[in-house]
Amino acid sequence: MEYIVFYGLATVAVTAALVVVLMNRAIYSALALIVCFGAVAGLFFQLEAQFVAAVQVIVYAGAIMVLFLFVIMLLDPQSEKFSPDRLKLITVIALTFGAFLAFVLVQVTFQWSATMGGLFGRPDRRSPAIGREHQGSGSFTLSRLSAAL
Amino acid sequence: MFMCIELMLNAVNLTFLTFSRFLNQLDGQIFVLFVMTVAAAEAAVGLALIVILSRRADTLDVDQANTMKW
Repeated sequence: MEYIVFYGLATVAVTAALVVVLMNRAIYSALALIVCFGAVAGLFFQLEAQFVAAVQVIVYAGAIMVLFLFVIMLLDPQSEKFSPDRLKLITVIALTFGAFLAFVLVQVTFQWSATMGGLFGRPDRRSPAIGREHQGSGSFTLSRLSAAL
Repeated sequence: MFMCIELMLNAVNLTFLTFSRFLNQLDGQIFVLFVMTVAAAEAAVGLALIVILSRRADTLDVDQANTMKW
């Protein structure tokens, strides 16, 4: 049940974030960002941070995004168009960074206990004998993570 | 572009809250409140700058509003 809620909210948040980045018109991006903030507030609620979720809705979606909408409607920006060369350059850079980020994320996912051991200094409780070895590889993952960040 | 900054700050907030729950500490949530305050202030200042830029340069494109020598 928790997984259904989490995956639903996460899908909504990621889709809304993609809409923010990909739309030509700024007003559509702002409205999608409001949806994204709502989904993320739901995720905060699920992480047992109820106060932060309420603050997120009130401050972010209620104040900051209203400010954004006012400015967008005041300035009336024209819809953006990129030249084909610029679009190709942006695509190449985005794919490179995306591949690197995907690599780091896969490493963190499949060496989760090693990463957590390296980050927090607690060896995996199920295997105390090889905990030290896990910590060694965990710090390597940590160094890669910090380089990516 | 300013909306992407808000997205990134939200991602950071999510990470902080995840770790706060993972470690059963409250420090992450306190820091998230700090980050939200900073994000709100920075969004207000940035939007004010954008309004002034559009009035002075009649364009929102920062490449065209460049008055540097080179």
